[in-house]
Amino acid sequence: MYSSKTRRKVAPATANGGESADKLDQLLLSSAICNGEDLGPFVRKGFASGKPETLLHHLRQFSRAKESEIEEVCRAHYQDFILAVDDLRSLLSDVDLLKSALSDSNSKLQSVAGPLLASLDSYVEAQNISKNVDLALKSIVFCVKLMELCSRANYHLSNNNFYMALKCTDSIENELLDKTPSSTLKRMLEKKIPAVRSHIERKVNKEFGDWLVEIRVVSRNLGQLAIGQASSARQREEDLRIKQRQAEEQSRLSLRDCVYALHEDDDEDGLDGVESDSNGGTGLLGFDLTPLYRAYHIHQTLGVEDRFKQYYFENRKLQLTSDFQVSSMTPFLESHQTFFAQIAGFFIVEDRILRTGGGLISKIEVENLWEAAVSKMCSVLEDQFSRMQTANHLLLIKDYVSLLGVTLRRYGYPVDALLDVLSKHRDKYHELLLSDCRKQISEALAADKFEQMLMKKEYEYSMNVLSFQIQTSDIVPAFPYVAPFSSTVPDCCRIVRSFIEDSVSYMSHGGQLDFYDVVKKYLDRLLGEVLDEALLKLISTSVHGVSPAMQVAANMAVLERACDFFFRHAAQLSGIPLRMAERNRRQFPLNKARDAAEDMLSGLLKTKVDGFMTLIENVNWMADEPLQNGNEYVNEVIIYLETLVSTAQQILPAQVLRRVLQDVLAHISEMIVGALFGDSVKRFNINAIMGVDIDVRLLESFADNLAPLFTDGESNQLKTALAESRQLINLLLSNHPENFLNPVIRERSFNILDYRKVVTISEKLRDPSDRLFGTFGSRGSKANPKKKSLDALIKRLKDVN
Amino acid sequence: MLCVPVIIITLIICAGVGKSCLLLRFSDDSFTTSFITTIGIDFKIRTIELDGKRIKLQIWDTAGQERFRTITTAYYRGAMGILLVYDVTDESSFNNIRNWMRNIEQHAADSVNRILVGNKADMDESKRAVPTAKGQALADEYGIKFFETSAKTNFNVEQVFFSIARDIKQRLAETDSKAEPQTIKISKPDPAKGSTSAPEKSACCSS
Repeated sequence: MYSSKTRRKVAPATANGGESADKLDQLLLSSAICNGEDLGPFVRKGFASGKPETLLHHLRQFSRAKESEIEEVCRAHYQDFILAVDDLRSLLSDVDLLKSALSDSNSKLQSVAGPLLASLDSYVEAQNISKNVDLALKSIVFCVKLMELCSRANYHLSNNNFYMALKCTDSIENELLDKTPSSTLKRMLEKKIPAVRSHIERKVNKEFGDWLVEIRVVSRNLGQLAIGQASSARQREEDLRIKQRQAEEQSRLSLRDCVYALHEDDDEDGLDGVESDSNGGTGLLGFDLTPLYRAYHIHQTLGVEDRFKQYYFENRKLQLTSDFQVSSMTPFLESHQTFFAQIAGFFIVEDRILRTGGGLISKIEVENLWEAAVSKMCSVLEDQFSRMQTANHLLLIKDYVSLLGVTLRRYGYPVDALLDVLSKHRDKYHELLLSDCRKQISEALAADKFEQMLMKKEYEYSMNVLSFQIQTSDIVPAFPYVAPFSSTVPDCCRIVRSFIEDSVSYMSHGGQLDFYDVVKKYLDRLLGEVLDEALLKLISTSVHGVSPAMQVAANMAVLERACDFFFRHAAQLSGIPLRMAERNRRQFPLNKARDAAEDMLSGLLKTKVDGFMTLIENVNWMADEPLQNGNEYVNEVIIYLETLVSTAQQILPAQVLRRVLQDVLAHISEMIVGALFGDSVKRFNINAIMGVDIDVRLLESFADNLAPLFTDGESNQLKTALAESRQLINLLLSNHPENFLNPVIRERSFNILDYRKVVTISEKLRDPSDRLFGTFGSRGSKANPKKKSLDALIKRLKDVN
Repeated sequence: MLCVPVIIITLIICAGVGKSCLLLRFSDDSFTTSFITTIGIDFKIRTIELDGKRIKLQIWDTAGQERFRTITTAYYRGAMGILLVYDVTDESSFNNIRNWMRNIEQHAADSVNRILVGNKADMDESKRAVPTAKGQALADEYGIKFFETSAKTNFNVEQVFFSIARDIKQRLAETDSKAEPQTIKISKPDPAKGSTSAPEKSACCSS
């Protein structure tokens, strides 16, 4: 169709050319038709001009033109058309052929591609599966890793290997949990990991709890062991010191060498002790900190280190507080070892933890615990000591506490406060000791039979004499041996020696190095207050005869030697050189008792002598002739004195004997003078005086005979006891009694005489001499100047009065 | 306060006769170790039932070492009974008994109960140095009881302690019954004074 149209469009211009209007119209119309334009205007123009016939004519013309044109075209293309139809016909058959070929190949293709497509499908499917499987594998590998870790964690858990278990859970949590493809697993892990942690924490806390329980028992044994070791170290030291002292006393080794040896051994001891403490302790007692450190490590791993530290500290503090409890049911004496060993063990453990615990506990915390412990121990000690009534209980506890001090000082804990408590109670201890000794001494003294002690065997001698160094000679006597003292002396010595040893025991290892002065102070009290007073009491109440008195006086002399020994012994035990102890020796501490004993003895002797001296009444004061052998009384007195001396010199030391005899002789002299002076003798003659002269001379020779017993000075002193009577008799017998008035002569020869006595006595001699003079004229010339002199003396003395 | 009567026993043992064993065999102390303190004394406790009565034994163990040969009177004085222990395999320890006996006579109360004990009786007869008869003879000489013990096999250990405890208990009972009328007499004239000044303090309350 459109091919005809184009032909019609092109046509109009060519059909016309310079024709008339009619022609033009026709041209216009044919071109409009050819161009397919709207013919409306032509129609309206035709009708408007009133000439539709033209238009119609034109249209008919155009149609005819066109029909002819078509005819021409048809004629022109008829052959072609047939050819084209022919072509089309062949084409159609070709197409049919093609179509069937196509359909063939299509069906062929269909039949071939069908299986191919199926396999493609299955390939694609397989590929998808493969991808899925791959993914699944990856997940599974991941999960396997996870599960492996989980199972390892479980394994560690079941083996109580909590740290490893925690490490596993940590790595699960940090590395795997977020990536885990399985939500079930993830949920499980999210639930289980905290559960595992809390399980571990619980488990570890339980272990730690068990450890806490166990460590208490261990601590107690550990403390006991450590204190035991300190004790044996101290004993070794003591033995060494004794050996050294012996060596020093015996050998010529220089002091420096010995000191060096001691130090060396000391150091070794110290090291030994510490080493065996830590090693032996661990080995023997299973002192095991592993559970603690494990718990600490686990808590560190769990990130709750501080909480654990606090927990640990609180628990240990509670333990310590309960360790402080002292049972009121059992006496402290019985429980003190447990009490102190428990605390000692606690701090030994704590020290180890401080050193090896990696900050589990701080130094300041341990120090605070220790301070609390020290103040508690101090208050317990104060309380218990104040209630104790037995010295040896105090000593036992003191010893244990000082060992505790040594033990813990070795671990660096300050123990001064404890030692202070000990030294504070030394007064109490010594008071108890003193009262014990007072009782023992009074018992010992009450049992005194005032008899010389008999020793049958050498061991008795060595126990009772040598061990107190109260022997007077180093030669061992023959046995049986009768000692100069009664059995009270060694009894008392034993008591005093025990006191010294107990005192030293308390003072030693108490932190005070130089304690000899303290020991000496208490020893002075024992001797001066207790023993001296007990002896005084004994003398004043139980001594009723000369021989007990003599025994007591003899005992006193022995005790004097014993006292030297006591101070030496105290010095030696206190580790003080003897010369230092002897440098500040003081007077005999028992001098009151000694004086009382001697006074008692001489008093009793004087009473005895007084009995004989009453015989002085029998003296013939107006004798016709002088007696040649002394008066009766003096002979009796001398016989008595001689027997006395013969026994006394066996037991009384010369000095004491001399003092007593001097006292007695002075008393006799006084009695003689007293007789001449007294009212019972109204007058006497020169013969009587000559008799008394012999009496005095006899007494003097008695004193002289004793001279071998004494030193020269002593025997002279003894004689001076008779001075008053001697001087009086000399004066009365003197040819120039007036010489008494000469100060020089008086000072030399009559210095003791009281002039009032001289007056009274001289007057008694005067009257009878008158009579004598009358009777014996031959002596008159001799007597006369003497009498004159005597008269002059009396007159002058009276004048002075 | 409930008081268990206390009996104080001093254990005198010559060196090396296995004293700690003997003591440990008998004490109910929680400690497993025993040591002599520097003052030469160890101290252990054992409560026993004797004829239906609970009695606490305070056992003071003395060191046998030479250094502690002179035990101060303090430890003898408190003692109600003394065990002298020697080693049947060591003659010198037996010979030492006489020395200890002298020491006791000097320091301890006259009435103190004593028992002679020969320890290590489990040893082979060939090692024995002191025949039983000799020990018995010595005990007879002093008029005291004699036992042979073995701390190792626990032979006779209990018997020794029980025997001395029983003797002491009996002695104390006798002296108590003797002493009682006297105290009544003393307190009669002045009952007020008597009741306030009663010093009858039981030994175990004192510490």
